[in-house]
Amino acid sequence: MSASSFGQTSSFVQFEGGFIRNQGGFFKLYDGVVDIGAGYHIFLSRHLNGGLDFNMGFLNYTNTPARSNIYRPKLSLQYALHLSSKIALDPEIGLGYSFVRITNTEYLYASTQHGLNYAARLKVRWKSGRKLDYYLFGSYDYIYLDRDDSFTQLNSFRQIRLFAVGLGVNIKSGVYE
Amino acid sequence: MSKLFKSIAFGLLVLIMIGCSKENNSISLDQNYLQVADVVEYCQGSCNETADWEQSKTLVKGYLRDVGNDSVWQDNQEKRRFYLLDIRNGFSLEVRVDGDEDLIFSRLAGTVKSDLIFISGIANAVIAQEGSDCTKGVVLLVKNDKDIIINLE
Repeated sequence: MSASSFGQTSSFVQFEGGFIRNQGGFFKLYDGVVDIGAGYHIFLSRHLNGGLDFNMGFLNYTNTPARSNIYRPKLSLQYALHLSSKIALDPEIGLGYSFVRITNTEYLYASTQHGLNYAARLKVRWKSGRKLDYYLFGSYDYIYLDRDDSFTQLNSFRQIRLFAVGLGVNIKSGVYE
Repeated sequence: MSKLFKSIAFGLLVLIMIGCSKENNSISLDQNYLQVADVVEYCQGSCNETADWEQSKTLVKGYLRDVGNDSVWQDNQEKRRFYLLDIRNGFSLEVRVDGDEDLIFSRLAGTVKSDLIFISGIANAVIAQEGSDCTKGVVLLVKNDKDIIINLE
């Protein structure tokens, strides 16, 4: 049953949390801590939905006051593959513009860098048939920071690669599957 | 409508591939004062080859590591070395003093943790061998106290 057949829009709000890891690059000595996010999506067809996501990743450099918070707003498209009446796979791609806030309170240092963010993720969703769907997700974010020679002159340090895994919930409204 | 979204999805994939292909690193070591992390990351290489940065004049800026730790500083002075720290990500660079030792260490002794240190030196390769693994890193050689500037005084 498609949303369009009812002439109304289905949508959902999602909330999620999980662990984040950085791969190499400028933050290679950092540990990932936690990733939290929220989003609002509208169904464009039975299988396709699009919306706005916002995730925040927190990294720290162990045993020091150095911290990095990565804010990742993005537009995303998600495709729903209905594997069974209970399980769906939701691959998603996104494009956004991220902000990386680096601080070290011991030296009163703070800097914000920013750049384009390409993202891909996969959700394994349990379809409850009710208002709430729960899911597991794995995501990959690639951020390419805008050039700022005072921050770094290395191209490899402008590239940030983040992996996150976690749990989330979709809160649905309107017509949905 | 779905054709439009397929096009958008394809466009995003192309953008991801373009973004992931940006890998080249090339910097000038002697034009401006570089961050410690840039120098440490750039000045690496294979043990079997001589890299372009070896024996190059190098300008670097960072914060003194271990400031306030007297025993570490005494050890550093005996070994005629100290470390510059990149406070943003924890990278550190060993600086070896090969010259005005007393002048350099007495100037550094008057600094505080928040002082930003600017150094002009020579990038020297050091080899670390562990079993069959060999890696090449960098230390900075500094000769004169005039090659060290504190807070661009």
